[in-house]
Amino acid sequence: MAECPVCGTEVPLGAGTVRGELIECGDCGSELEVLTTDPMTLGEAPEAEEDWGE
Amino acid sequence: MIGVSIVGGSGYSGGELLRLLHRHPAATVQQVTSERFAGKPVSRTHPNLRKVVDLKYCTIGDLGHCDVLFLCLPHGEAMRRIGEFANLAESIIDLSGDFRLSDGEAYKKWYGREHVCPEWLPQFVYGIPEISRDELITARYVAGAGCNATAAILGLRPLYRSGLVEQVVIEVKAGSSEAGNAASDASHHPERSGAVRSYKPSGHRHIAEIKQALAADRVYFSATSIEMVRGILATCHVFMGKDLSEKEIWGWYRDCYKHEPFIRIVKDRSGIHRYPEPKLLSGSNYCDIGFERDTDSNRVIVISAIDNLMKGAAGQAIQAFNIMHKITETAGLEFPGLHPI
Repeated sequence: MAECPVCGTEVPLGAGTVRGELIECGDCGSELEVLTTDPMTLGEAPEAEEDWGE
Repeated sequence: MIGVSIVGGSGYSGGELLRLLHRHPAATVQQVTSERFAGKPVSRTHPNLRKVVDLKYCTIGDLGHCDVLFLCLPHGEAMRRIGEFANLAESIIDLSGDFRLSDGEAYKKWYGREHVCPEWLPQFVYGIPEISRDELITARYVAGAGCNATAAILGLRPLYRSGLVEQVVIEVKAGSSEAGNAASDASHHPERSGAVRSYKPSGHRHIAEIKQALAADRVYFSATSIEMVRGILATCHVFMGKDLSEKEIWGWYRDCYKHEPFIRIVKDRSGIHRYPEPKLLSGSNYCDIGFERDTDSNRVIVISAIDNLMKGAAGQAIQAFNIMHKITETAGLEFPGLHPI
């Protein structure tokens, strides 16, 4: 488990999780990157902004 | 099985109750009243129930005893006849505004007339399960909450629990079914179609419920009718006493609603459905809630959506009914909505 840096929920991580892996937070839907595996830490993965015509 | 009857069943809320109760695993619909359509099949006014519900309307005078009476009468009628109805059933769930406020003076202020039986007000439990579940378990009389009030209260509640709300401005966009099934000049198709109409910029009766449920001194509320049949979208601008982190706000909403079967936090960072949309909730009992933190101020924008006839009326009444009878809370309310629609 590791904490989502956006919404704070606990994100379950499998035993075979590797550094750099991309996962999605189940609560807020943020795309997250595994920064370290010992301890497990997550960071926001860079996302391509969508153009909503703003 | 629990025997239920519906008083004033020819309107939209009555039709939704009938649709839900007919398929409910623990309820049997005994009678449905309509003074205007007495003797006619219920499918005359609810064509979606053709070959589904084989009942005819009766009059209130024909009503027999039942376990639960659902009242879908115009505002003012339920309180006028409450003694008569209480003699017909063990429990009553009233969908009108007659018993929502706990104080007769507040009723007079917001409804513009005296309450005819204020002694009954303390006997009614306000029917939003997410805020009064414990009271509903032992309740005999339930006042179904207003639709706009439900959307606003559920959206705002986690922030109010923090004690940090300084001011709130609520803008509700509402569909035409909120006005009921009686035609008026305002609902005439050439006048209503395509309209974006401010119909109550201030002084809406649901303000009283919102203040009562959130223990708020003051809320600012405006309602706009838009081109939509079912649905409510409430956008609440909440000015907080301090700058909050995204994580703090997430935590409050999670704490408040993580075990609620009909509340979903909708706040996606990609895709086209990032925030709640009433269209997706048509026919379902969900209340979808999203929020965004304004990084330039202490404002939090809360967006909540419901189907006004479901979570805003009949669906929420069934949810309360389930709790009162210790039935699985989601019984009869499993429909998830449609997409696309």
